[in-house]
Amino acid sequence: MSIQEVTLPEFNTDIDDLFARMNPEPQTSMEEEYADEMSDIDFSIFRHKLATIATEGKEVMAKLGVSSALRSEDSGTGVYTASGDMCGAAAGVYYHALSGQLPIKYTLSKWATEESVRIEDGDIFFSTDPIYGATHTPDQIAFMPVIVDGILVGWVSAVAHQADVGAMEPGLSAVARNAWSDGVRLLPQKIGSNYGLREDLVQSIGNMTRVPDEQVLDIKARVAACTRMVRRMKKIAEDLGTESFVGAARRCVDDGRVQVRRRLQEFNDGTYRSTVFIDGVGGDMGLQRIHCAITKKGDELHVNLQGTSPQNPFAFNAYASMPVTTLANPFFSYLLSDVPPSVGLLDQIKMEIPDGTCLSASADAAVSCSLWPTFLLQAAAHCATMKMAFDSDHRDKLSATQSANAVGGYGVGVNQHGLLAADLYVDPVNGSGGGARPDADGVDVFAGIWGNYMDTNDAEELEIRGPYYKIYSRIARDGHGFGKFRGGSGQDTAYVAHKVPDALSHGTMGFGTKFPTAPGIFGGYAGNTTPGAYIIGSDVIDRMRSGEWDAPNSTGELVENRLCEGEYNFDYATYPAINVTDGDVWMMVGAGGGGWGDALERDPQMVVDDLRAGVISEFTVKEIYKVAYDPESLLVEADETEKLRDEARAERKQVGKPYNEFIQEWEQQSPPEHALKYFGEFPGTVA
Amino acid sequence: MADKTPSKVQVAEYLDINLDLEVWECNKCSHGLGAATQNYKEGCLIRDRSPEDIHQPIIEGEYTFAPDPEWCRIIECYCPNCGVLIDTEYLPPGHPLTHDMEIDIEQLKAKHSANEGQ
Repeated sequence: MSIQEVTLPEFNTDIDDLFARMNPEPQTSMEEEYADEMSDIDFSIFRHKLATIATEGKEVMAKLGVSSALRSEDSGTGVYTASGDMCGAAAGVYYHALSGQLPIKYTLSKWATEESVRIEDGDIFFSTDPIYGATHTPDQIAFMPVIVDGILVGWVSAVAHQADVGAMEPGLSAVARNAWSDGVRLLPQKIGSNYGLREDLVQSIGNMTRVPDEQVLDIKARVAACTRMVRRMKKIAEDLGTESFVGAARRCVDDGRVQVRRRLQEFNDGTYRSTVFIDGVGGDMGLQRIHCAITKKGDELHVNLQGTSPQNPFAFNAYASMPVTTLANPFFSYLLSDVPPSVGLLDQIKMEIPDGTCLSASADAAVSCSLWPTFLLQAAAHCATMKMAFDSDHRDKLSATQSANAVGGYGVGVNQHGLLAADLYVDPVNGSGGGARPDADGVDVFAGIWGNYMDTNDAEELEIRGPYYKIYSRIARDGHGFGKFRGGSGQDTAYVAHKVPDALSHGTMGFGTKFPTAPGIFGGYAGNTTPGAYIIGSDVIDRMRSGEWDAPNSTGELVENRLCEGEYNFDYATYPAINVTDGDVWMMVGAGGGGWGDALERDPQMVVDDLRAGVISEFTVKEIYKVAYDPESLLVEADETEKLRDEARAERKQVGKPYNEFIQEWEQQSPPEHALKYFGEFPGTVA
Repeated sequence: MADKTPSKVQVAEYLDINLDLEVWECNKCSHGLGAATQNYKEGCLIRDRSPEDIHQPIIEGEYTFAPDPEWCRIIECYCPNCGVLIDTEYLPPGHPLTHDMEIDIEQLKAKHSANEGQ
């Protein structure tokens, strides 16, 4: 196989073509000839080696990078066939590795035969353009070919979120109005050769951001990861022979296709729907709908997003290549969690997205916050696929939805060491609560909905890097969906600015302030809602110095009882950048996962245990779970509890209305007009 | 898979499909909830609740830490017989309820009849 043999047709931005590029390319003649050369055992070892290489690359990137998101593994590394199909990955975030396919295929398409570029052993490529793979501008991708004896045998990529990308606001810009306000957009391009970076180009990329040194160092971390992976891949290809390597890499993809077909056959045919709602679009508040109808027939899955709200004038939009990668988490981390990841796992998914939605935005749309609408699509798809899979032998892989509020913050400015620094406060995002499971509660402080394998920030490391420190960090009280099994709670934390040389630009992004994002399942309630909250001019530092500061058990306790002086502010989860200085406090309440099943079926002892641990309030014990207990000993009063629960069930039957009667009254209602300005037609029609 | 009888298949936490009768049934009390080709919610009792009933507001004002009752309602679907909470939906006021599970009954019958034969 020569490089020219895998050169692909001209790449364009057409929606259908982008979809096609997320699916495996046609098998090449060498892939076909050598696909079955290895024994099953040798193939299993080969595939394991690819996974280990990807994992090593991810660790190299995390250890060498400086951005907090990168170090907390909002990242992914992928290994690919010569044609750019993902045949192995390590997460972090699986869709980062999946999205690496597009810039590789773009490069094959555009640069393999372009005399001024070409593809050679040791070349280093880089891209930040969301049309060609980067899920949004901060998700920057380094990638390299693996060439042995002049033959292209594969690719590797290292993808991670960058804290600042030179958008119109620090961090990423929720209020961006168009693609030219999103920050650095680099087409897939060569930034180095012969395993060395072009320092002039790398410095130029850094120069486009607010924090050039961080950008440069993090590019080098990504490239170091790729270089390590290339070295490992070449060694295997040299040992096996290039043809065997090419055939086995492709077999990883094709085996994934077989596995997913087999798995889909086990689920009940039918259509499973879920509708979720976003309460803001970045620069403004307003409802948008994400609707997902999943029709499963035999071994095929058809996903129809008709009914999803239109593209909005801010940055909560995504290009149409994103929704496919979005499905990586529900599939790779749940329904197919026992199958090695490859793009073959998504091969049976056909997606239909009407033009002009917030998930199929035009090329000139701002998409720097593209993740947020896709988080909601993940929530919807998660819910629908779990219902599809309930009646199967894979019930142990199911859960309610993780939180998708994804409220994160950023701080950009000169730090206490006099250096320009940018950081994401990812704890409440990466530490969101997991969904409840069929036989257990969701995991507290679990992960963001887009990647089950991320971590939260290391608190001490953050405090060294930025002019602030944490004043408490808790598992959020009532911060989850209630149910027979409850969702996991998110992390509830707050920072105080300290030793700020001048002013620190701080803001947040996310949603789920007026409308929760993690639906419950089978009668479980949704996860919690979270506003933006900060205190200007607090006296927290003075109180700490004088020993008068008792860290609260929750942000709720802090704001309810005004535990420090200062000007308290509450806002939408996405509030624009403000300048903060010493003493200013910002609180970030993580959100939790959805509940599973009827709350009245929850074991009363588990309810009281949660109360004792501070994970739920007395209100929740009494009003939601209907548990009677002795307030001093916290012992459950079983008979009284049963009586309360019987009364609650009787009340339901008394208050609930027959369907038709209910619908007649319900259809007369609507949200306030200002809540519908970005919704599209209300209620409109859905698939 | 937790079949209570050969003709019954549990397809959700609180929902069975009776394959002989082709109807939804409550998994807790076997109460019929209508034709399996229709939305099971049509056989339920439905209640519109303020989200503040469930998610306690912490402060007053526009941002209370709880969902906004003008933007978001909780729709609860109960079994009319035993009162178990079969499904919850968080919807804007007046938004149509979701037909969340539309199962192909013929394929379901074929699948479970094949399973029985094994």
